[in-house]
Amino acid sequence: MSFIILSNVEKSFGQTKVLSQLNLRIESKELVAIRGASGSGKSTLLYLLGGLDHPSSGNVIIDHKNLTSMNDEELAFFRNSTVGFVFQFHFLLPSMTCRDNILLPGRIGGKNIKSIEKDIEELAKILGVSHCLSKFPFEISGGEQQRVNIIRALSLRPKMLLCDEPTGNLDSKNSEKVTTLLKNLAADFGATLLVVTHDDKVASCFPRKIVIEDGQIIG
Amino acid sequence: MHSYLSVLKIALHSRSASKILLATIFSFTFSIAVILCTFGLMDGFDYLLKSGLRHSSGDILVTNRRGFFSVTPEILKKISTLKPLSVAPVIQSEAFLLSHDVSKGVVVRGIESQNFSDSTGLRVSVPAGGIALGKELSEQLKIKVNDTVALTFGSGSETASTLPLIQTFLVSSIIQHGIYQKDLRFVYINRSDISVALGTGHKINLLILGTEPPQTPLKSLDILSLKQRKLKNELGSEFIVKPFWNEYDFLIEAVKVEKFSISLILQLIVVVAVFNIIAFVIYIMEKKAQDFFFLRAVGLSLKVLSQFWLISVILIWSLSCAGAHLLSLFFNWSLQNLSFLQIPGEVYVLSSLSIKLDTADYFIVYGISLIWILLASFIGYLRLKKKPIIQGLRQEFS
Repeated sequence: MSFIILSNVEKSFGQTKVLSQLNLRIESKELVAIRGASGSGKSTLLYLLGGLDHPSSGNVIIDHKNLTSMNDEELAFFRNSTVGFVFQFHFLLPSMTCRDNILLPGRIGGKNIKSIEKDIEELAKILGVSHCLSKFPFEISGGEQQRVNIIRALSLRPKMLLCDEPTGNLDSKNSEKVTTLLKNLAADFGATLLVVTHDDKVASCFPRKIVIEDGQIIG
Repeated sequence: MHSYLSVLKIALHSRSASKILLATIFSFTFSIAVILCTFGLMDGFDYLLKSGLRHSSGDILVTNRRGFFSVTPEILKKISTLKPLSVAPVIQSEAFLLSHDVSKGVVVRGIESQNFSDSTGLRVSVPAGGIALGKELSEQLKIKVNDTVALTFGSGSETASTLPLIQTFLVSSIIQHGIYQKDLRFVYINRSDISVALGTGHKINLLILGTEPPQTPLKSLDILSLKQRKLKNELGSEFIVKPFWNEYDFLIEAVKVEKFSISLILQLIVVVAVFNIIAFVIYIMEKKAQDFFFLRAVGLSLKVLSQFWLISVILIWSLSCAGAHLLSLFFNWSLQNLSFLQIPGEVYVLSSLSIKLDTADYFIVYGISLIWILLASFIGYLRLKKKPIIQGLRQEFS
């Protein structure tokens, strides 16, 4: 059975249909780019996969669990334990150090912080941001902020890493670095990686590409 | 706990949020304190008035329509049906007290120290030839213990009935009833002295009954009302039987009515404080919504969010209640010790006021304020709950 199964998924906001009759299967540990123009519905698809939103109709099954039949508490647990999010905006909270920001999902999920801290130290070394952990987000550069953001997404060793325009705020050099990094880390962690992008160059780095146009998968 | 602290840290990040929170707690504290102190003052007034009256009148007073009467075994038998703790026969009259060339109209009570003290709880010791004065009277006329004062009674002996009868007494003690008028007007002498002076023989004109332990505050006046009615029926129409609060009944009733109406008006103060709380909630919502929505995205459930909301509200409420309690204690201390807060006894009947709060007062004031604060914060929580995470994230970060 596939890791991700979408069957007849539709999503509407009022009268506007954003996703229409989507059927999709993604296997575990697959590396997938979701490409499409602005407003095509690619981010909405990502949010449905991440349990951040409900489909208007159809089923979203991830890791044998049907998200559409989950209540708020079950969805919150799913988001915390199964999904790692990397947003275009880093969403690092300015009141906390980078370390505390990274530990936030673990604290919310009531996880063992000591074991997470070990992973964080290792990841920070790999990503070259060890020196940033004790600093506040406003004390580090944009590239460093995005790498801290990635560490936070991976901190609980999620089965699925969802990235919404992770390179949207970066120049082409950093963009390539981050894309490679995400692919390598997902492979190392055994996570399924889905990256939403409008950038053909970024999408071309992935073995599987899904193209969305007007709420439908066209390729 | 960790998730609570993380959310709290986010909510209170920035100096302005902390300042607004402090201002909210202070305003709520003051609002609750004002209501507590007002209730406490009214209850204190009620309590001091009643205990002051009991200190001069015992529980039940019996007089005869003809004036003087003899305490016959028949009367005592009827009284004993109430099982009184003590009975004090008293001769009460009016006179002028003369001291340092000044005279003042006073109520003179001829008592037997022991049974009077047992019936009223007021310790008055008057040996033969001695006199005990109220505190206010002694201060006004500058009379001290061991001074000599004179009492001028309205009528003299039979042969010279138009002349006043003047007798001197040695001041044996200064006493305090707690009621201004009584401290200003009441003097106590030995019953045998007044009996001889007025020629009343063994007759008296007032019986004071103590039916409940005088040092124990009365929880309710109902029991005494029942006893008073029962004795009234036993003694018949020749006797007048009154409870101790009879002379200030109107004041006790007024305080009761006033307490109810003021409690309604004081809700306005709570409403003002609630506006502050709502302002704080709106501020947090506007400033911190993006953080809350992000936390929701990484796994904060609505259940945990609502728990955070509830715990925070209860913490604000608890701190405010504790602060209000401390403020009411401070105000009570100030009432007792700061001269500019002393009340004029001639206006307020009592010599001094204090705050008296019972469990019911705390329960009402704290309970109502909790309902208000829960309602106010619920509005903010609903706003967060209603908006889908993704809509919140998009809107807040757009």
